[in-house]
Amino acid sequence: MGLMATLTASAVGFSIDDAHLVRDVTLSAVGGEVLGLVGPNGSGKSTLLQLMAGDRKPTAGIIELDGTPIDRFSAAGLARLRAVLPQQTVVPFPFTARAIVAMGRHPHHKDPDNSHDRDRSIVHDAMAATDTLELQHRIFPSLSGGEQTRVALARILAQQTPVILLDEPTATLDVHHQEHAMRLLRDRAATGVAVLVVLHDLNLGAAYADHLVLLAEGQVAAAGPPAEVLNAELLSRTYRQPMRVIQHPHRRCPLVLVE
Amino acid sequence: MAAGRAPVATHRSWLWPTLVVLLVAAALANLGMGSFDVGPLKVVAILLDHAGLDIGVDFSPQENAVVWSLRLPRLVLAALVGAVLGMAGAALQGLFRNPLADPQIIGISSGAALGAGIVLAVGPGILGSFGSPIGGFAGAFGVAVIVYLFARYEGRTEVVNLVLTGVAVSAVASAAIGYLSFAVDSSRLQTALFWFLGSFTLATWQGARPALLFGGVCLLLLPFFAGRLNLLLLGESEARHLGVDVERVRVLVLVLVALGIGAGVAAAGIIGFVGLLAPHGVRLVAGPDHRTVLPASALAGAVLVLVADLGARTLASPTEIPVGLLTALAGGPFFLWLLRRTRAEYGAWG
Repeated sequence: MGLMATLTASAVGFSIDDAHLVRDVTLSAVGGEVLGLVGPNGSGKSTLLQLMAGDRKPTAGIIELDGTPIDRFSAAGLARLRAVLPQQTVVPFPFTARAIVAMGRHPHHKDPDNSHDRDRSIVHDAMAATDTLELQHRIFPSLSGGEQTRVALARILAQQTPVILLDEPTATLDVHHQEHAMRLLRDRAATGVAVLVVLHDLNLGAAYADHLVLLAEGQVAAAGPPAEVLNAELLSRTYRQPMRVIQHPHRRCPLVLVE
Repeated sequence: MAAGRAPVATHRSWLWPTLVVLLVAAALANLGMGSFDVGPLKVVAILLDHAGLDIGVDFSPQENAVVWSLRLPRLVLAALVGAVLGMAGAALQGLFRNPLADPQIIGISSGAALGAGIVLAVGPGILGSFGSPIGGFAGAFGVAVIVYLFARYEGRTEVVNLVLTGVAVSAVASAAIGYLSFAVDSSRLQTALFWFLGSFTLATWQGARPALLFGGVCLLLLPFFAGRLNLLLLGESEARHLGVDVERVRVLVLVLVALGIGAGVAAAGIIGFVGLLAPHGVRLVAGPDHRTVLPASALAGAVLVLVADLGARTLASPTEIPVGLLTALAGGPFFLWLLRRTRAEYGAWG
């Protein structure tokens, strides 16, 4: 990929009427790193992701991609730089899984150095990476939730952008595919991609993220490497649930236990 | 690039030849059959004669007049209106992400009839023969925007919202047309039935010209949106993430649909259900990719309307049945089936 990019939120806020869904959030998704966004329900994770994706305009602060405010980009220009995995993809017509993944190539159709064969091999590789090749001729709406997520993930990979944003990609996956998906994101980051991922599972964040941002009531409660953010006292307070953090017996990362 | 090879690719290879053969057969039947039958060979001879070719088959001047001056304009108009209905239905279903969208069901056709009717009542002025198609376009586009704004909820249009909004809008438009026909003394408006039931009885080369122009623009330009309509099926924000300027696509597609439907309704009245039957038939054979569905639905729509118009002219001969009656007879039960299937597949009223 080569091209590295940084997506930055500076003092970003988002309010509807008097409800402050996101307040004064500053963070950077940096090329080569996985940034995990964690926090309790309603803490503003998905809203923040939508702001970072350009779906909604922040009511305060600014979001920039490599120093350029994202609302300066055209839809087509932005689509070549960042891909977004929504929580769920609902397709009301019987497209095949492969056709869905191929849609990820749309932003590149006008690139002079893109070609039919290139599209084909990228779609194939993305489906191989997400373990979905055997689903390629199946009808997307007939797939299980987890299978749909993996196909949607393949679509994001096929888009080949230097920034990818994911909203709870692991929520519908079994343990094997959770680990598989997170390793995939790590591998992508290793090629220089900036990965910003909303996670429910703190231990996936602990194992795979370079940095974590813990959101509470729309604000950053803690940010830094997992070992710093996953602090038992802070988590217990934020989640209103007693928790303990120990060292993972085999992995070199913290392990969060519910008391 | 191809959106992947669908498992139905084998069907796709015979989709186009089948549609073309059906279209040619329906066209020859329409030109030859009626209260005065002309054999298919003679029909071909008459057509080629006007192209300057003599194939050695004799025909009478009367046969020539019936085929060339009476039936051919009607055939061309019917095929064009059918093609516009088929393609517009497919485009609306994609745009609204809703399998039940159809120009008549969501009220766009009634809006076009009202717009065209108002122009006829007031008089077209300097617009001349383009007056009622332009009125039809304005009415169709106005209704499309109203339906779009009313039926949307949190970025998507619920199946039932769209249909009910269409019912309400159609009711108002129909009442307004009825009112016009009482309030204004215009011989054409008094045949208000014409707009509700659809007919090609009045087709002439002269009258068909604006419809051919507007309909042609619609048919030529809509296919350029096929790829973006595919992406819109993923969802509004997903399409935007993939680089689609959603608002622009939406406005342009609605303008093109309104242009085709407005001119078609002004020329031939409301012909329902073709916009459902044609695209769904095509999708069953060829899958949902709009790059196939849009052009194939145009051909299928043309075939359907030609067959319906043949029935309209011949079933109760010498009396004519309004063509819209026949399409509703076939389309109504299909709509009910589609309603059931949609509910079964997408949950209660998703």
